Amino acid sequence: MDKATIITLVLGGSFAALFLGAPVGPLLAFGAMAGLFLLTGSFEAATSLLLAAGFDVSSSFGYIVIPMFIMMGAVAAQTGIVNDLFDAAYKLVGRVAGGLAVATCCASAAFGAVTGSSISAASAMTKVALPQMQKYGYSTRLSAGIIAVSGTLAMMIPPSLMMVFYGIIAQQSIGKLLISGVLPGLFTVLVYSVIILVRAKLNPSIAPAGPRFPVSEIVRSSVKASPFLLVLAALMGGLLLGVWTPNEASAGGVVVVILIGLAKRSLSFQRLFHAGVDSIVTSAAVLVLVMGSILFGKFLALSGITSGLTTMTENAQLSSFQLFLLLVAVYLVLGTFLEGISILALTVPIVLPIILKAGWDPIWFGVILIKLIEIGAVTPPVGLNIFAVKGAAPELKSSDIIMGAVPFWISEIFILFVLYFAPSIALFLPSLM
Amino acid sequence: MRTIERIVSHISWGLAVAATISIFVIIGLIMADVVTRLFGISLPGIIELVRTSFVVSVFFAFAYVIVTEREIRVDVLRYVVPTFLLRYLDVAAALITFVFFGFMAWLAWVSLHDALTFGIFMDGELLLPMWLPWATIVIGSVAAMVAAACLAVRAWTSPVHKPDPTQVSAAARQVV
Amino acid sequence: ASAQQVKLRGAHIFPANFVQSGVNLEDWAKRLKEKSGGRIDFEIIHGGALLTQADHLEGLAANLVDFASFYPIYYPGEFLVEGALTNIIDIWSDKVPDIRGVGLIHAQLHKEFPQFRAEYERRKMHMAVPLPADPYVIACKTEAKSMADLKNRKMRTFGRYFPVLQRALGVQPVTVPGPEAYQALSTGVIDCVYSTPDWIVANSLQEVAPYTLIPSPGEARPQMAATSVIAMNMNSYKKLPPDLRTIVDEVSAEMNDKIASSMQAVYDGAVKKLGSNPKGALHHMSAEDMKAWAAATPNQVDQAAADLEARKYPGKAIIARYRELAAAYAAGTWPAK
Ligand code: NA
Ligand code: NA
Repeated sequence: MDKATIITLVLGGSFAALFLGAPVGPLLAFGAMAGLFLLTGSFEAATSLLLAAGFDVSSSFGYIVIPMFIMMGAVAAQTGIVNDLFDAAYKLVGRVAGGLAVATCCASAAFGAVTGSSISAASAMTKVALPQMQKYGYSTRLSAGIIAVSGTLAMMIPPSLMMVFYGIIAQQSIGKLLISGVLPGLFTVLVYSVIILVRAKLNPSIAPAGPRFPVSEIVRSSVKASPFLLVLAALMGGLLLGVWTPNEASAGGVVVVILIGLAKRSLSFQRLFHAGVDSIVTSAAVLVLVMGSILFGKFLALSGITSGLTTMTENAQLSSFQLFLLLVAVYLVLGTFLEGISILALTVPIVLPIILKAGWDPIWFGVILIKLIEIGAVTPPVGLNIFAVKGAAPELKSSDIIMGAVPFWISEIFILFVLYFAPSIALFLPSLM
Repeated sequence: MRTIERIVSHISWGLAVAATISIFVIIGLIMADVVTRLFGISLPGIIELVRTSFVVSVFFAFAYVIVTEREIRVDVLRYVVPTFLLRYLDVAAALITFVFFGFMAWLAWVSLHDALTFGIFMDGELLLPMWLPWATIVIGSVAAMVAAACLAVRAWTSPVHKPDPTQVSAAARQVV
Repeated sequence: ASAQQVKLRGAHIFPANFVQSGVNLEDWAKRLKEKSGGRIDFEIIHGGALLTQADHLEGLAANLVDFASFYPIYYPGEFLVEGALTNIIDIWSDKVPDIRGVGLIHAQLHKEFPQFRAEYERRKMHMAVPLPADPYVIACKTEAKSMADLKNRKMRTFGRYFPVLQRALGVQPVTVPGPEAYQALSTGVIDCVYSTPDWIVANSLQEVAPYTLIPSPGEARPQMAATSVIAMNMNSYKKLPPDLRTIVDEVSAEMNDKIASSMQAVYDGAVKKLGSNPKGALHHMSAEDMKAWAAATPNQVDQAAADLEARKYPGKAIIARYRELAAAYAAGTWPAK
């Protein structure tokens, strides 16, 4: 069997099985092992990397942020802290149709400032924001969609593990890369908010306007919600003062939330424990997917499909904008079935020389790549953020999450072009360094 | 079969409890490291202990993920597939999970054997033996295999249900 | 001789332009192709796309690839002999080999002691070429001219032997994952890192830790053995036609000098870059400080011998031979011209 046939078979078979409801993580691993077997003819070679993927994911310090931030959200939910926050947000902006979705988006961005993992942001925000939006009558699609897409802000807004990873592969200034994500992240929040408000205006039933509250009530609810700000302050303060690294801060966040819950006397041991079980179960469901995705990336690397794509690009003589369009198209395709780290690992070493030849700023390109990976994270069939929302709220239909994300997905493409034509959005802050 | 299923769900719950305790141990270890560091003390071996505990947290949770049907699946096409096919698809899905953890358990068993034979230890100051994580993966994966087998039987024997869209919001209200 | 053609597949966990394990790997493979008149062809998948730190042992053992550059330093529990040597920087001896000497001695010890080879054979591998790293230097947020200046600073650490070396230096070892080093330095979770100049520059750490201290009056001291090696899958190696296998052996031996000069250039270039950083300064540790440091640290070279003996390896014989070769190398009597 030739390579093209093997690739077609494995990709086709995996996609079909995915859509028919196979468990994603095990399926990707299964597809990868089948592909590796067909490519190498060796059963030993085909299965050799499975255990390493399993051990790596379950023993890496970097992945610990996933259960930690999920637990932070779950414990916060148990203590009522987050309910207070959304109550305050509702009273502040709820009278505007779509206001609570805007608040969710801003809360995700704030959460993104303390986590580098978009999966954990999406999982935690699902636990926290979804029930609230449903309680207030928001449509399931809008609620799930905004949580899935705004979870990706965690990759753009520093700290971002993805940026660090890109910086190391591309050998670029990590400080500049991290800071370059701030304005594009805030710009994205703005665009999402406008979309929500416009859609709510056009169709108030998906995001109903709430009652107007007296100022005293808004102030009172804001004061009640202030413990959440305490969490953010502790996390950010700890990070900026060098008390802890982002990974350690995730564990610190859990401790701070537990302490607040105990102080408020709203957290029992039993509730804490159940929040713990829930978080670890959700994390395990997400991490098995990361294992499968890693293996699938290995199969693609061995098949040569990615290097084949880039050779083709080099041979065609393209204008800067044509190259941009082409890269966007390639990354959108890769983003459908691969997660970010694999995409970066596979493509940056090959693409970087091309973009340097085109005279593009590699810091700016980092922002573009992160944006494309954000888009990939909400593009089916392998959309990690869609899965994270689904994992945290299994009763949701994937189709609802996906459909809910579509309007924002389209706006992400718009933002990409804005970033292309106005690179200073990404490059202004790093230029001050 | 009922009895077997009850035993399996008890075991997977027990493992999930161990996984949860382990995650709290990790929080404790990290906080101990952070706090002592502020006082100029560096505790040796925290990272190895955290890594080893995290393997427990992740692998001991899988069986419970499977029996409670919380594996991540894409259900886009489920709504258009003829009902009689769903049973086969569900059994196939459970078997894929079974095979995945079967390979994982087998490979970890081989590594466990090597780690014991050659006294292999983890990088770091404590020289923690590698048989600890490998044994964890063997136990967690075997439990996950049993859970997946249970799921396959359940899918085959219980009446096929199409998800009811109206259940969504009702279930969602129970999340918090 | 057989005219049979072989295509070998290789993997590398870092970007292709990383000199120690990437550029050198590519050079080795190119030389094989050249010397075999094109009968050996190759393909290398760089950047960790196929094999990463987590799985290159497995991928190599299972013949998913035929060769790879790989880092036994991360598996001291599995590569006991090599792991002991690669993790130690000898600050107790008066003179230590330069990068070229490290590679030569490493290869020689492999030839003489079956224990080195046995560890590779257990994983169905053949060690072809040692790839020494550029020697470690210290990069700090604030100026450090001497050992006293380092007192109580927090320094990134890893493994078993480095914390011992660092505690004796008066610093507080802190474990921070590599990718987090930049941020940890900028916020002050750590004050210094102790690493290769190349890695410091590759991670832009000089932006936040602009003050360099070379822990030696002259050039920094390298590890006792190469941290990385080019290894082949045993089966891929053994099933080569005899003449091609000879070519692999010859090229592997020839490569040492070329690798040494490329790593020397890497060290010199990175140190020059660190030294010309307008935000910082570069200093050398005095000979007195080095003596004090060595006196404060339990001799790790002897410790390694004892550790190996405890595990029923001829640790004393290996270390004795290491010292003999190092002395002969320094005297210019080994290897023979
Ligand atoms: Na972030
Ligand atoms: Na995707």
